[in-house]
Amino acid sequence: MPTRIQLHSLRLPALILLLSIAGASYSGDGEVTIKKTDRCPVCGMFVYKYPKWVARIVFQSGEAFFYDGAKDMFKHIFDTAKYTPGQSADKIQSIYVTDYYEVELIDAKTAFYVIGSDVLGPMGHELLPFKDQEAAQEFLEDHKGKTILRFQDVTPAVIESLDRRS
Amino acid sequence: MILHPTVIANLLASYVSSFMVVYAAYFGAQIIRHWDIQSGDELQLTLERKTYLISTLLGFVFALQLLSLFLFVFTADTLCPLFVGAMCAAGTLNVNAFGYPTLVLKIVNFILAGLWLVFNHADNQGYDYPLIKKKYLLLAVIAPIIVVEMLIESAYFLDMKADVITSCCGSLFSSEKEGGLGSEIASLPAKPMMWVFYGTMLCALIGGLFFYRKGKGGYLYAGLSLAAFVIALVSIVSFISLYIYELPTHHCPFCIIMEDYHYIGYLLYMLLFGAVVSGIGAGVLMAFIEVESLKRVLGAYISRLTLASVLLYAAFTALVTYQILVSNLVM
Repeated sequence: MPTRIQLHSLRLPALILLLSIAGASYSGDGEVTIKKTDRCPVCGMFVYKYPKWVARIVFQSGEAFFYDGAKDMFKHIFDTAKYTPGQSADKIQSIYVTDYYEVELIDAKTAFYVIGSDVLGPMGHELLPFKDQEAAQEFLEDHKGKTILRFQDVTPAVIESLDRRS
Repeated sequence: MILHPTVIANLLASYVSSFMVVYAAYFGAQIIRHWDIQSGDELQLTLERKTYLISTLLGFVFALQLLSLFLFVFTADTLCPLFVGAMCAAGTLNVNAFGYPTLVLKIVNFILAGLWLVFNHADNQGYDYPLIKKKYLLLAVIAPIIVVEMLIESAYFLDMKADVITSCCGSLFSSEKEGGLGSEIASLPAKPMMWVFYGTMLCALIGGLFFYRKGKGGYLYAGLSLAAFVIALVSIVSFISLYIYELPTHHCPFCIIMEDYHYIGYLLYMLLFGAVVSGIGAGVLMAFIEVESLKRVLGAYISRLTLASVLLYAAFTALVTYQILVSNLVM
């Protein structure tokens, strides 16, 4: 029993350590903390106000952008030059979203996105990211979600339909 | 309705203003009908005594009306975290159909109330109540608009529901979205708008200085003031906001009042509203420059107003230019 407690109490620090190592290795820019001045390039919102919804894109140039939800992140991917003149989608180095249950940054390309649920983000109807299918399925059942999408299934039409529901 | 201190403050201010203005307008109607300075009639004496009280009270009421525009915008900004999708006052004003009409009426009433205060001050300079009938005629015009504003503002606050998903200013003032005045202004090309802005400001400043120095062209300056005011508001949406936010697509005229932007919006709007009221006031007062009892004093008052207006427009232009110069946005 004491061993179990010890193990359990070690889990969080270990996770943080792992995350920080992962963070340092994937970001390339070494900067994971959100500054008070970081704004979503799509809607202009200050991202620090919504830490649970943060998404992040880092370009090859090292330039990093934060978003207040996966929806705006996708908008940026679909129309990169409009929001950040001089950048294009093929210059993106990494894309991260925040797992809704774990509240940690996960790779956007392998994430599972639930749409149509009764959970709203700062920008209204959202794509809720999960790192594995089971979590996504559980959330879908608990929160009246409609579909689980993969990264490549998200199209401008999907984003538009989310905006139209608002 | 959302029971928030700012909402209660807004509604109270609105009800106090409306009640006082309606009462004063009723009194004003008596003045318009029965005022005769030559008469020693009992009614005339009562009116003369009462007008002191009424104009003093109205001075406070209209000062409250001026403040209420900023209080309203501040409230909308404060309440935005309560509504999904709202990131600033723009989203809060959009939660129902009465938000933006209230704002427009508040802007109109700000200018009218400001003009009434200018008139009142001029009237108090003469010993024989030279502008009294005009002052109360203007009040008769303002009173119904203030009552309509009170009704629409009440509908706005009472109809506020927290479960509404509203639009973010990013989409309300987007240059791509079809329809909507905000989007149409946002889609005006920034570079030409900049030329129009600086051109209009230059004309207004030259017109104002000419009027100040020569005492001629008062009506022209009143017109230029109004034009500069409208162009400046359009410019805030079209390009000034872009430089303040340093984002090429964010045109919102409300985010600039947030703490994150050091409340610079309040300063910009105060300069602008102060400039337009004093500018139009100075021009319109030229109509009464020949009034016997005002001849000696009105000229100086008009000059002061004109100078204030020119300085406020100059400060606004300087502040905008400074923001553009220090901005990291390159267009």
